[in-house]
Amino acid sequence: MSDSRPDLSQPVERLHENEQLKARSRHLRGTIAEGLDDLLTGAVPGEDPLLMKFHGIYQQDDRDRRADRRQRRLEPAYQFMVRLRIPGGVLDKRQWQGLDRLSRLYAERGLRITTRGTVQLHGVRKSQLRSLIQGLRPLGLDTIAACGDDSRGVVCGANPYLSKAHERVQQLARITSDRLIPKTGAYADIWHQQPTPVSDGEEPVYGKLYLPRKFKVGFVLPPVNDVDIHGQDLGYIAVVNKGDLIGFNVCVGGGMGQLDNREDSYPRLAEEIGFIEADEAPAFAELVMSIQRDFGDRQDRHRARFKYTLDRLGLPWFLEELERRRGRPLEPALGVHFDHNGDRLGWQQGDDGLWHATLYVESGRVDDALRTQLGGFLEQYGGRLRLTTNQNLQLTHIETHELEQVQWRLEDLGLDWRLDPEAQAAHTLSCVALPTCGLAMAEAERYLPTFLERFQRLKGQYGLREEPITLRLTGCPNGCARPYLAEIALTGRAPGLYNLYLGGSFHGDRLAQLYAGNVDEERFLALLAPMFERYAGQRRDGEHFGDFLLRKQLLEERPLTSLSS
Amino acid sequence: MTAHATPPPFSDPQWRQVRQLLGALDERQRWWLSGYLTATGTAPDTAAARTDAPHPVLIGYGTETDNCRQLARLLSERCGAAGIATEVIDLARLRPRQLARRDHLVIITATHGDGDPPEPIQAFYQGLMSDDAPKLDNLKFAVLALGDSSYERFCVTGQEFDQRLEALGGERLIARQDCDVDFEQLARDWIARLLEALPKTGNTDAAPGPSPAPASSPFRYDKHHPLTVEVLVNQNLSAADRRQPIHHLELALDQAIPDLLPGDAVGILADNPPELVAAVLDACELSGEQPVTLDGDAQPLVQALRQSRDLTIVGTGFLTFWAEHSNAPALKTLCEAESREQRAFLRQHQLLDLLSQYPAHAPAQALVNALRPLQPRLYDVANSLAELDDELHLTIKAFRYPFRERHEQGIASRYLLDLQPGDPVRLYPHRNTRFRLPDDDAPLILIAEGTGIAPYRAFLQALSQRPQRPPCWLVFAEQRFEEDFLYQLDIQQAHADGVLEQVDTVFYQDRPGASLIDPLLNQIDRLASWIEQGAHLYLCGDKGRLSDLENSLKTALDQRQGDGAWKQLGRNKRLHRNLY
Repeated sequence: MSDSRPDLSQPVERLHENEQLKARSRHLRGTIAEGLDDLLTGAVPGEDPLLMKFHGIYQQDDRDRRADRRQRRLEPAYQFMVRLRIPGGVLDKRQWQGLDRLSRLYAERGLRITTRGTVQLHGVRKSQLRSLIQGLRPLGLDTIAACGDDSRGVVCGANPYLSKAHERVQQLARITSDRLIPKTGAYADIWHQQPTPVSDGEEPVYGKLYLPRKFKVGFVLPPVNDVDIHGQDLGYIAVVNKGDLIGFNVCVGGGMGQLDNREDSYPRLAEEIGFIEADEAPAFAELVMSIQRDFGDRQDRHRARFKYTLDRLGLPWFLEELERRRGRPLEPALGVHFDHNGDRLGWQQGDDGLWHATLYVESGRVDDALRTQLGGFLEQYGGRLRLTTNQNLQLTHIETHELEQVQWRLEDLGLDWRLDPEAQAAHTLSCVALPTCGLAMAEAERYLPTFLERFQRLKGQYGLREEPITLRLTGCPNGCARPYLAEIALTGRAPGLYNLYLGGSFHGDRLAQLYAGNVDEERFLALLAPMFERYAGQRRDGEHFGDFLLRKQLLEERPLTSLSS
Repeated sequence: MTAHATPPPFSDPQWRQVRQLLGALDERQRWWLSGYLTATGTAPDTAAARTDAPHPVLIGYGTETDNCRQLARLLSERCGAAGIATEVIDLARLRPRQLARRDHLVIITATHGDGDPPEPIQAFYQGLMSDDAPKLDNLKFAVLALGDSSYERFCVTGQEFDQRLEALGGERLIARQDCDVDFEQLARDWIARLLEALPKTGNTDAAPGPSPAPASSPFRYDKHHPLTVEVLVNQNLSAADRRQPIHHLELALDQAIPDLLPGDAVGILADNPPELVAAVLDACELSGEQPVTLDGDAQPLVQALRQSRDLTIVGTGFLTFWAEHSNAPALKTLCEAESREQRAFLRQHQLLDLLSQYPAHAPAQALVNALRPLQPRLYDVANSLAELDDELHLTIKAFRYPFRERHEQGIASRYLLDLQPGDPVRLYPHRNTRFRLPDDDAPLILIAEGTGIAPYRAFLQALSQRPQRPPCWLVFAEQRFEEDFLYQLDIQQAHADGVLEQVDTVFYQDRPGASLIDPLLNQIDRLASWIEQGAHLYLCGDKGRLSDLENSLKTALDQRQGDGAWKQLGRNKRLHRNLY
C-alpha cells in the first residue's frame, strides 16, 4: 500500500481530475443540456462527454473520416453510441419492436448486442439524442449507468434446463440493477426535460463522487458460465437444489482491463469468498459496492477498479470490513462447477416444459437485413427474447405446440441456420473497435469475418474445423470482449498488429497468457500452425486447446518477437 | 504598409486624416502615392526593423494524448524564466512554409502506433516530407521524440523530423532525445540542455517580434497586368456527392499586394477549358500554332483563344462577322433584323453552337479580333493578409447552369476547381471599398449564404487581432450541417476566442422549409437592439435570396422601429452588400 491514501478520505482537490469533475457536476448534470443546444458543433463541448457516460451515452466520431474532414475544415464526424440498461438481457416482443423502430429512426448500422447482454445503438447524432431517449421511455427502457463510474448493467446468465431458478435469478438481477443505479434527477432533467432541481439527498448511496471506476455485477447459473462470472467485480453463482434456488456463492474482484504500458495493470479472476441466501443479493451488492466506493483508488484511475482495491488492501481486510458492515461473517461457499462459457445454440427445453432457441449473431451485429428478418418473425411470435453475453439472441418461452410453427417461420425467413452455425462461430467474440471506438488501435468487428475464415481454414488443415476454441478479437487492451479469458485472443496494438494471448480455459476460469507481441495475421497463423498440428495428433479425449497448451507446456517458450522488440 | 499589421505609428487624429485621404483616392492615385513614398525614401527601413527583433523560438508539438503539448508548455515556461521568447503552436496548425521565415524551431512530437505521426499533424508531416518543403537554411532546430518502445518503429516520427529538418538545411541545436513511455526525466534533462543552446533576449517578458511590413511594390496590378501566383492547396470542402462542390483555394503570394483589406476581392483571369479551345479550332479548321497579335503582343492562336477570348458568349459583332464568312442566309437575315431579335438568337446559341451549325472558314487574326475578350471573374478574398501576408485564400463554388437541353459549367469556377498545386494563376486585386470593417468598434451583423462566408472569414481573422473587439453576430446558411458547414473549424475557433459573440446557422436540407431569415426574425428584438447600438449589417452571397431577405428584414424592422429605420441604416453607411 502506498503512503498517501488514494481514497475518499482525501480532499477532492487531491483526487484525480475526473473526481473533481464529478464533484462539481451537480449530480451528473454538468452543462449537458446546454451542450445539446449548441448548434455550432455536433459534439457536446467541454467535459460533459465524461458525464454523459453515466447516462449511457458515449461521444464518438467516425475515425475513418477524421483526416478528410480536417482537410475540409470540418470538425470530426461526431456521433454517439447509446447503450441501454437491460438487466439480464430480457426483453418482451413490444420492447424489441420499439428498439427496431428507434434504431431505424435515429441510429446507423442496425443494433448491436453487447458482451454484457444489452443493446447499443451507434451513429446517433446529437440533435436526435433526446428524441431517442424519450422514445425508450414508453418501452420501459432507459440508459442509466450503462457506462460511467457506477454500477454497470447487471448481467444474468441462463441455464435453459433450470427455467424456474432462472426466472428467480433474473428477477434478482433486475432488482439489483434497479437498486444500484444512480438516483440523480439529472436523467429526467436533461433527457425527459422534466425540471428536477439539484438536492443534497439525491444520491444516498453514491454521494457526489460516485464510484472510482465502473463496477460490474453478474449472476450465473452453473454449469453454464455464459457471463464469464470470474470477470465480474461481483459475481453471484447460483446454487440450485432440485430446481430451486437456495442462494449464491459470491465471488469478488474480477476484471479484464489492462494497459500494455503499465506493469501494475493486469486482468484478474474473481475469487469465491462464501455463500449468501438468495434474497440478500441486492442489498449485499450495495454493501460490496459501498466498500469499493469508500476505499477504491481515486487518484490513479488505472488502479481504481475493485480488483486493485482488493489486491492493495488484501482479501482478509476486505472480509473483515464486509463482516463489520454486514454484521456477520459469510457462510462457506458450496460446491459448484462450470462446463463452458459459450452459448448452447439451437433448441433447448426447460424444466418448465417451455422451449428456447438461441440464434447466432456474428459480433452481435443485428444489421439492417437481420433486423428486417427478425421484425417479420416477431409479427407472429408469442414468446419473449433474451440477449446473451455472448452477443446472441434467444427466443424464449415457446410452448411445445408452437414449436413446429416457429421452426417453419425461422426457415421461411432464412434464420434457421443461426440455430446451428459452425461450432467456432458460437465461441468467437469481437468488440466494435474502428471506426467509432475512440480507444481502438486496430480493427476488430469489421475484420472478424475475414479473420475467422482464415482461422477456420488453418484449423481445417489439421482436421480441427469442427472443434470449437474460444477466440476473441479486440481493438485495444481494455478487454471489452473479455479476451483474457479466451483460449486464443488478439488485442489490438496498431493497425494490423495484435498482442497474442493463449491458454485460457474453455470454461473461462483461467487467464490466458501473453504469448507474442505485435503479431500480424501471417505471423499469427504461422505461430498457431505447429500448435494445431500437435493438438490434432496428441490431444486427449475431449481435451480443449487451452488445456492442451498448458499440459504440453507449449507456452513455456515464447517466440523471438517479444514485447521488447 | 498595411492598416492592420501593426498599430499605425500615428496619433489617432493623424490616423483618421490618413485614412480619410486614402479613402478619397482612386486606385491610380493610391498607386502613384505608394510609388512616390517609396521613391522619396520616406518608408521605414523594414529590413533593419526585422533584424532588431528576432522571431521568438517556435515550439511546435504533435500529440494525440497531450503529453507533448504539456512538455511544450513546460519548455515555454522554462524559456520564459530564462529570458527566451517563445511561441507554442500545435503542429496541426502550422504549415512547413511558415518555417522559412523562422530562425529557431523546437519540435516535440509523439509517434503514434507503429511509426505513424499523430493523426492531427499528418498534413504538416506530409508537407515537410514532400519535395515541396521549403529550404530552411536559416533555421536552427531541436527535436524531442516521444514513443513506445514496444513498437518496432519506436519514435520514428521524431527521427524523421530530425533528419528532414537537417536535410532541408537546418542546423541542429542539440542532439535529438528519444523517450519511452516513462519520458518525464529524460525530457526534463533534454529541456535543460536545450536552454543552454537557445539565444537569450534578456527580456523575460518577451513578446513576439513584429512581422515585417510588406515591401511596397512599384507596379500596379490590374487585369492587363496581372500577378501570377502559384496554387498551394485546392481543397474540396464539400462531400464527394455534392453536385456543385465548394473548394477552398490557397495561393502563394510571393509579392505582397499592399492594401488588400478584408472585404476586398481579386479578379481571376481564368483560362478556357482545353477541350473548348480545341473544339473551336476544329470547327474553324485552324491550327493553334498560327501567330496572331493581341493588344500588340504576338502569340500563337491557341494561347489567345485559351487565355484572352470569350469562347462561350457571342456578341452581335461576331454574329455579323460570322454571317459574312459563312454566307449562311439565316445569319444574313438575322443581321438585318432588329437587335432585339439578334439578342434572342444569341441567348440560345453559344459560340460552338454557331460554329457547328453554320460552318465556315475565317482567318485566325480576324477570328481573334471578332471574339469578345474573356472577362475576369471576381472572388472575395477569404483571409486577412494582415495576419498571413504570403497566402491568399479563395472560396469557389462550382457554377453549373442549364443551357437549352444541356448543362454548362461556369468557365472560371471550372478553371479554378480543376487547378492542381503548383499551377500558375493570374489575378489582380479588386477593392470593395464599401464592404469593409468599420474603423470604430460598432457591433457587426454578418449574414451569409454559402460562399458568402468568404469575406467574413477575413473579417474574423482581422478582428481577432484587434485589442477592442466589437460584438459580432454571424448568421450563415448552407445545405447540411454535417457536410456543408463551410469553415466550421474557423468559426468554432472565432466563437471560442470571443471574436464571434453569437452564431446562428440554418441548414436547408436538415430542416426543410427553413430560411436564412428565420434566426433574424426570431430574434428581431435583439436585432433591433444591435442596430440601435450602431451595428453595421453585412449581406453576402446569392443576390436573389439575399435581396429577398433584405426586403423582409426591412419590413420587419420598419414595423418595429417605425418607417425609414432600414433606410436610415443605408444612409449612415451601415448597410453593406456584396451580392452576386
